[in-house]
Amino acid sequence: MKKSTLILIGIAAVVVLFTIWLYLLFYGTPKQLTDVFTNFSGLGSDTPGEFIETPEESVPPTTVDVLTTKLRQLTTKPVIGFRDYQATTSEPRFVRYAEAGTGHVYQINLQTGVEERLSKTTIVNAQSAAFSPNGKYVAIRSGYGTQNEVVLIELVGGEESIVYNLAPQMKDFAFSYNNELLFSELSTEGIIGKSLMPSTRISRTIFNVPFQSATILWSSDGTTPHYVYPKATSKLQGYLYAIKNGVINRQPISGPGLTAEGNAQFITFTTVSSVEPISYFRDISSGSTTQSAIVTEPSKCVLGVKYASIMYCGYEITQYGNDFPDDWYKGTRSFSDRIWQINLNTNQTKQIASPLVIAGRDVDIIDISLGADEKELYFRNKNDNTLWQYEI
Amino acid sequence: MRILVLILLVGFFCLGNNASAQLDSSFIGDAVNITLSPQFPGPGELVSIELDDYSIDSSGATILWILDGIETPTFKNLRTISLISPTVGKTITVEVRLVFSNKPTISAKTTIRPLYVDLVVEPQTYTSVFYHGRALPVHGSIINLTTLIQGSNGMFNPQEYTYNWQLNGKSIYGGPRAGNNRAQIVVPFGRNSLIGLTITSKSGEVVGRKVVSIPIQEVDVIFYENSTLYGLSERAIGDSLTLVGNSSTIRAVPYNLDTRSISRSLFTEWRINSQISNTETRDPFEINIQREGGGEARVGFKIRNLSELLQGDEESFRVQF
Repeated sequence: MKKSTLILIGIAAVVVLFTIWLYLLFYGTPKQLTDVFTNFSGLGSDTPGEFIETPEESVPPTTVDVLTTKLRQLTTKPVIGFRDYQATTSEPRFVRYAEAGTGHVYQINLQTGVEERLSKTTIVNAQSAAFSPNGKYVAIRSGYGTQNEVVLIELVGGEESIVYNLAPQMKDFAFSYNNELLFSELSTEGIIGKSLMPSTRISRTIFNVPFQSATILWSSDGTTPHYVYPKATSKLQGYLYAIKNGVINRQPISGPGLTAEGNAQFITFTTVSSVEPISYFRDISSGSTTQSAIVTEPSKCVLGVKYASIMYCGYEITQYGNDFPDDWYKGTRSFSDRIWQINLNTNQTKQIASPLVIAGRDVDIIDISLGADEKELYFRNKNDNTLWQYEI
Repeated sequence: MRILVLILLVGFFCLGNNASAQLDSSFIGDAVNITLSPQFPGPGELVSIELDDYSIDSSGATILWILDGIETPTFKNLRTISLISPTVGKTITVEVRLVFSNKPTISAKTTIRPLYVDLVVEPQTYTSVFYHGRALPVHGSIINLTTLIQGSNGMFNPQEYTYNWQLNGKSIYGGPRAGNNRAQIVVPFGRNSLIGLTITSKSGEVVGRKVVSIPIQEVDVIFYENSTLYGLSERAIGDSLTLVGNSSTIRAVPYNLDTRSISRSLFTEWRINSQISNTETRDPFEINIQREGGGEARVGFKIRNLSELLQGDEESFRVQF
C-alpha cells in the first residue's frame, strides 16, 4: 500500500473520530449502548427525556424465596414483631410482621413468597410489636421510657388501618389465645397485669405482683398459667411464681440468674452457678427435674403446645460463663446459634439446623416461636433484627 | 449439784442458737440438742442435721435417728445426717436418741416445717431501655427489698407478721415492725452487703429467717449507636466502630448509676482525641460524630455523680472512618 493512501486513511479516521466527538459534545453522552448507533445518522435527533422514569406499576412485588431451602431469611428489613396467620385452612398462610422504626405492617404469603403491605400508618420510632392470633390487630410500642406510647392498629384491608392510642405506661404486652391484649403497668408497690379487649378497649385487672422489676411470661394457650420472676441477673437470686386466677403461687424453682419458660406440662429454667449457667426442665405433674444438655433462655427457646414435650432452642456450643445472661442482655456478647430440638420426655437433644453452615450467617436467635401447626419455627436475628423461618 | 446447774445453764444458752420457729423443738432429757443448717430450710432444700451433745459425756452411747417415728438404720451412730426437706405444707419430725447402757436414754426432737421465704432485691440504678435484666446496686444507691412468704395456704398476709430487717448486722428500722414486708436501704461501702430478715408471728414465734448477700458493682459505661429511625441498637460498640455513613449518633449508657443522679448534679464529658467535645445534642449521654476525610479517632466519655463521687466511670472506643 502506498504511503499516501495510508496517510489519507489516517486523516479520514481522525475526521470520523472528530465528528463523533463533536456529536457527543453537543448531544450528550448516550444513555445506552444502542443509542450510539440508533441515533447516529444525521448527527442524531433530540433524545426525548433526560431522566428515565420507571412507571410505578412496573415495579415487581417483593418476592421471598419460600421454596428452595428449609432455613430462609424472610426479610431484609429489621422486624420488631411477627406472627404466622391463616384465616381458614383453605386459604394461604402468611407471616405478618411490623417493620422497626416505621411500624409499617407487611405480610408474606408462605406459598408464593409474595410480600404486600397491610398498613402504611407510620409509627415513629416503633420498637416492639405483637400480633393478635386472628390477624386483625397489632399493638406497637413507639419509643421507651417517658416517650413510651403503645398504639393498637386494626387492620381493615388494603393498606388501611385504624389506630387507637392505649395506656401510655405499658411495660410489656402480648396477645392471648383469645385475642385479648395482655399488658402490665407499674404501680407504687409492684406490677399490675391487665387484659384489654381490642374491640372495646376496655381493660380489667387480672393480677398484682408485689415487685416492679419483673419478667412476665404471658400464657399463650389459656391452660398454662402466667409465670413471673424477678428480672434475671447472674448476681442476684430469682424466684419463679405461677399466676392462675389472679393468685400468685411460688414454684419450687429458684436460683441466681433465674430465667424460665413453661407450658402446661413442663417448666424449663436456667440458673447460674459460679462457673456456668445450667438449665433444667421440670415435669409439672411428676415434679421430677432433669438437667438439660444445652443452655436455655426464654427468648431463645419455645415449647410446643400441641406437642408439649418438644422444645426448640437456639444455642451455641461455647462457654457461656457466669455473667450470662447479663452480658447478652447488654449486647456486649452475641452468639452464633444452631437450632436444637429437645424431647423433654426422653431428654434427647439433637441439632436440626446450623444457620452458619446453611446460610453462612451468624444468627443470634431471639423471639423464637412456632407456627400455628408447629411445623415451622420463626425467629429474629438479634444482630440485625431480620426475620427468619425454619421448616421443621 | 454444781455440775447439774452448769449443764442446765449451757443447755439454756444453746436453746437460743438452735432450731426453733418453724421447727417445733422439744427436748426430752437434758443437754442434747439438734442443730439444723440452714436453720430455716426451704422446701426441697438439703438440710444438715447435727447432734449437739457437747455438754454431756456421751461416750459409749448408741446414736439413733428417728424420722417421722421410724428409726433409720443407715443413720445409726452418725453425729450428722442430711436429708431433703419436704414440700410446703408437709412436715418431717426428726428425733435423735442417745442410748446408754448404764443410764437413761436422752433424746431431742425437732420438726421441720418448710416455708418459701423469698427476698426480692430491686436496685434502683440505671440500665439501657432495652435491657431485659435487673439493675445492679452501686455504692450510695437505693435498693428496694420485698419479702414474699408462702406456706401451705398460699402467700402470707404481711399484716399478720412482724419483720426485722438488718443491714450488715444492724437493724434498719431500729427493731421489728409489724406488717413491714418491704424495706429500703442505701448501699454502704464494701464489696458485699448482707441483708438479714427475721419474720415473727403475732404470738412471737419466729417463722422464718433469711440472709442474702448483695454484691456491690461499679458504674459501667457501654456505648451503642442510636439511629434516628430505628432507635438504640441492642449491640454494644466494642473497642472500635467503623463509621459506614457520614455521621452517627453514639449513646453512652452508664449501667449501675444511681437513677436519682440523672436529674441531679451529674458531670458528663465527651472527648474526641482527648479534646473536650461540645455535644450538639441536648442529651448529655449522646454525641454526634461526623466523618471528615478518612482515618481514625478515639471517642471517650466520662461520667461522675457529684453527689456520690465514687459513682463514676470513663470509657472510650476507636472510630474508623
